[in-house]
Amino acid sequence: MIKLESVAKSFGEKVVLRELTFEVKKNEILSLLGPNGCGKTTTLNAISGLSKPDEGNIFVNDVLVDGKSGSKTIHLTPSDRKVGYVFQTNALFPHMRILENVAYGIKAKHLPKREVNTKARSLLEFVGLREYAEYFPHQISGGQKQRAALARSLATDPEVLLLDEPISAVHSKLRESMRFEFKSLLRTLKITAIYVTHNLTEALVMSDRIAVMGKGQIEQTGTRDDILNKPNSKYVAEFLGINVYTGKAIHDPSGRTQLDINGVKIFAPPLADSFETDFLITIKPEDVTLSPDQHIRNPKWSGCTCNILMGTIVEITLMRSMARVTVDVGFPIKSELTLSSLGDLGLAEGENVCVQFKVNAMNVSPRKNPDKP
Amino acid sequence: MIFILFISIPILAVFLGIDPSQASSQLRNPQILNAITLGLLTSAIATVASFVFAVPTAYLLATRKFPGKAVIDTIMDIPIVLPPAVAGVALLLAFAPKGLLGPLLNSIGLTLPGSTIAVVLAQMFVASPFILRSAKTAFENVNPDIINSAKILTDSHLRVFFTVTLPLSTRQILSGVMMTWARSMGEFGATLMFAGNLPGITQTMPLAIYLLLAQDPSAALVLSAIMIAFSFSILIAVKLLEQKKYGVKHD
Repeated sequence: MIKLESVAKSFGEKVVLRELTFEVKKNEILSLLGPNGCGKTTTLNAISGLSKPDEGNIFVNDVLVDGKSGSKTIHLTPSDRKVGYVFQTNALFPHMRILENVAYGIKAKHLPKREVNTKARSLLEFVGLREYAEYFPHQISGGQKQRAALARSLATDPEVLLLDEPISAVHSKLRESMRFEFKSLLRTLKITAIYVTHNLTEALVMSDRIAVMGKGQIEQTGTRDDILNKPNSKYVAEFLGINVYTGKAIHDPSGRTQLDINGVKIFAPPLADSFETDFLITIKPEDVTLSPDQHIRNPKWSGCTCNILMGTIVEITLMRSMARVTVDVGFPIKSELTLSSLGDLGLAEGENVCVQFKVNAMNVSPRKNPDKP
Repeated sequence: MIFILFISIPILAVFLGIDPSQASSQLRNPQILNAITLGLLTSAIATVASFVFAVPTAYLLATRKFPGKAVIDTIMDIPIVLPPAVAGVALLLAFAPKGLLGPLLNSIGLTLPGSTIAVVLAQMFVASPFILRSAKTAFENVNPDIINSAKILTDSHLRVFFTVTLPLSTRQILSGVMMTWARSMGEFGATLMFAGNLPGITQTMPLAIYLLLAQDPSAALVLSAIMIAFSFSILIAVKLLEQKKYGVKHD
C-alpha cells in the first residue's frame, strides 16, 4: 500500500507537486500517466525518500515514511522504506558484473556470501538473465539491462516497487514485447507498484488502475474504462487524445436533449443537471464513424439515437494499423478507423464526409471547474 | 605545421644538445641525483597530501549545496591562474616568520622558508587545484540515478561512496593526480620565492636546472631531458586514463 496525502514539493520558485493525494492498494499496479515535466519522477523520488517533500504525508504499507507525526517530522532514509526503484535511464553500476549489481542490495543485509550469491542468482533466473550473470552492463542489450535493474531492485525484498518509465529507453522494436514481459514479471511478483509512464498504451497494458497526472497533481484516477469513457476534465481527455468540447444545453420542445457545441446542435443523452451550467462533452475517436454520405448507416446502430453531421476532412494521420481523421463539422472532431476502412472509403484531405456517432457513446458531465483550462 | 615545429623543435633541441659521452657521468653527479631525489620525494608528498585534502573537498563541492559555495569554488581555482612568483610571495606573507601565521608557527618551533616542508607547501599550493578540479568534475559527472540506486539498496553512505561514486570517478581523479604530480615536479617560481634554492634541502629539479645552466650546462641539459621524459610519460598515462570512461552521464 502506498498513500500520499497533500504532498507538496517546490524547487526554488518552481512548484512541482501541489496537494498530491492518491493511494495505491495492496498488490495493485497503478500507472502514473502524464506528460513530461508534470512531476511524475518527483513523486517517485518523494516516495522513495530520495527527495524530501515540503509538505504532506507519505505512507508505505501503513508506515509513515514522510510527514508529521504529532510534533515530530519524519523522513525515513531511502533504504529504510522497503521500496524498490527501477530508474528510467540505465542506472546499473557499470563497473560491476550483472550478478554483483543484483547482489549489491543483498550484501547490505550482511548475509553469508553463499546466501547472497544464491539469492542474486535466483533473481537473475526470475528475470531470465541466468546466463548473463558474469557480463558487464555494457555487454548486454537495453532490454536485458532493464530486467537486470528490476532484479537488482527486488534484491532487498521491497514491499513496494517504483518504476520510472523503465521501458522508454529501450529500442522501439523491443518495447512492445518488453511491456508484456514486464507485466508478466510484475503479476508473478504480486507486488504493490507504481509504474510511471507518459505512454497511454503502456499504462493500459501495465496497470490495474491509472492515475492521470497534470502539473503536479492527480487529475483523475480510475480503471482503464473509467479513464477512457469518462474523462473528468478537458486536460485528461486531451491528454488521452479523446474529442472534448464544452457546450450548453438547449431546451428542446420535443423533449429530446440537445447540446450546443460551437453553434452546432447535437443530440445528447438525458441530462440530470440544470440547463444553467456548461457541460463537458467527450467522445472517443473510435466511436466516431465516417461514411461518404449520410444515407449509409451502421446497421448495428438501428434504433439508437445518432448524430449525423456533414464536414470537411482537415487532416489524416496514418499510424501503424490505424488512421486518425480530423473533420471540421463546425467544430473539429477526430475519428479513428483502421487503415483498411480508410482505403475502402477512399477519403482524402479537403473532401466532404459524413460523421456519425451514437448519443450513448458520448460522455456528458457538468463542467466542474470552469476556470480551469 | 609551423606551430607544431615551434613546439617540437625546442624539445628536440634539449635531447640533441646532450653530449652522450657526458650523459652517463652526469647521472652520477651528486647535485643532479640530489635534485632528482628531492624533486620526486617532495612532489610525491605534495601529490598525496593534495589527494587527501582535495578529494573530500571536491566531493563536498560537487554534491552539497551551501552558502558561499561559489566563492569557495572560485578561491580554490586562483592558484591555477596565479603567476607562481606571486604564489611564492603570498606563501611568504602567510607562513614566513614575520607573516600572518608566523607567530603561531614560531610558537611551535617551525620555520618554514628554507625548509623541505616549504617546498612541499609551495607545490601543493600551486598544484592541488588540478586534482580538486578533476575530482569535482568526476563526481559531478557520475549519473545521479546510479548513486540513487545505490542509496536505496544500502543505508551506508560510506559504502555508496567507496563502492560506487569513487570507482566511477577513479579514472578522472587519477588523471588529476597525474597532472598534480607533474605540476608539483615542475614547480619553480613559488618554490624559489618561498623555499629558496638550497641544494639537498629545497633544490628540486627545475631549481637545479636554473642554477646549473650557468655553472654546468651539460648537467642542466641532462636534467632537462629527464624532466621532459617524465612529463611525457605522465601525459601518456593521462591520455590512456581518459580514453575509457564509464559510468558517466550520457545521452
